[in-house]
Amino acid sequence: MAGEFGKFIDSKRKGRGSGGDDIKLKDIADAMGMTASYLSDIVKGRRNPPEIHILEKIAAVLQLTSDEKEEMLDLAGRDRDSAAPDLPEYLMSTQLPHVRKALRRATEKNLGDAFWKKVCEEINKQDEEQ
Amino acid sequence: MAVLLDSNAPHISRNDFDKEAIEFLERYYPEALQSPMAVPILEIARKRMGLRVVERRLSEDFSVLGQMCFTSGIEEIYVKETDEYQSVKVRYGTMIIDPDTIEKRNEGCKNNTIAHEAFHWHKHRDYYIAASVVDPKKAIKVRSGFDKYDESSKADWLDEDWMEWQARGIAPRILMPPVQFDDMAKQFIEDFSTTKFPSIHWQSKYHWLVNELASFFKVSKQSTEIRLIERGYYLRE
Repeated sequence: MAGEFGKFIDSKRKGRGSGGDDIKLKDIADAMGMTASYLSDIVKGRRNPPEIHILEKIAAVLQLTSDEKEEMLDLAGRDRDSAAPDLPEYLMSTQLPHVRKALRRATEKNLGDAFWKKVCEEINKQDEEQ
Repeated sequence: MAVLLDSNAPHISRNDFDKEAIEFLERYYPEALQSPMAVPILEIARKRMGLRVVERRLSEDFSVLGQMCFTSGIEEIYVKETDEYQSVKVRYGTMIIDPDTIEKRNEGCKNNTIAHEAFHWHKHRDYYIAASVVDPKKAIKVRSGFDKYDESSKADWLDEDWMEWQARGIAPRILMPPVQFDDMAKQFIEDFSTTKFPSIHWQSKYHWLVNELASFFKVSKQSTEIRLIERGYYLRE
């Protein structure tokens, strides 16, 4: 649903500033290199979420955990009616045609999340082996 | 005194702050130099200087007291009700005063902010307008907050820092011109020593004097205390 990204940003800035204060809109906007009114438009759902390099800056200033950052990226993608903005570069790499092939086959076979959970576990095993 | 050799910003030394304040009043409100009074700075800004003074919240954390807009354009204001910043059109010569920030302080703070922004308009307008022509990205507004200036790093100050320092130093002097301030201080001291509260300790007398002067000139007590020291009235240890 449009505007969920903005609500997420607004909720994550609450109580995360120094001394338990909210992180100010102005400070987030400064970190983004944009005006506070531009950020307010995003938070209120009047503008699309920004590009990935700006999202990285937001994640840093809000001190998001990796799970929170992934959630933010997913919401940014949904609000823009597209994939999460950290994915396309990998997904569309000419070096990795099998990524797209696998996703298309999974789509055709309507594979559920249980399958992708196993894929995740396999990927994690790769981490452990390395 | 540091001199801005490579700058178009006005050069004003601290020793000339009173002179600048008097020149400002001579131009816009000479009545205030005839006899002591609470300088009607809002009326001066609106009627004598032709400025548009509006009240809008300028920051979410009360860090900005006022803003002087030197050109027409888009500026940001903070809307408390919806917790967001909005872009609004402003006209050349608009002074924005944050009513909430001032509510947290007092009327004296508001008057000082208006005097501060009015002085920017009076003395620094040409600099900002010229700067905006030379560099269109250059700020065409000036915002004033509470933060203290670190005078130990003057060597690194930019033009904007010098002009902010000038406005901060001169605004209270506009509201409390030297001769008129001395007149009232002496009168209150005389009133006190002859008729009022003879048994009260001098510490209390000093606070009473500060209160009376602040109330008379419609300025903050802090500003009054600084002015007393500047004018040579010290509280003996």
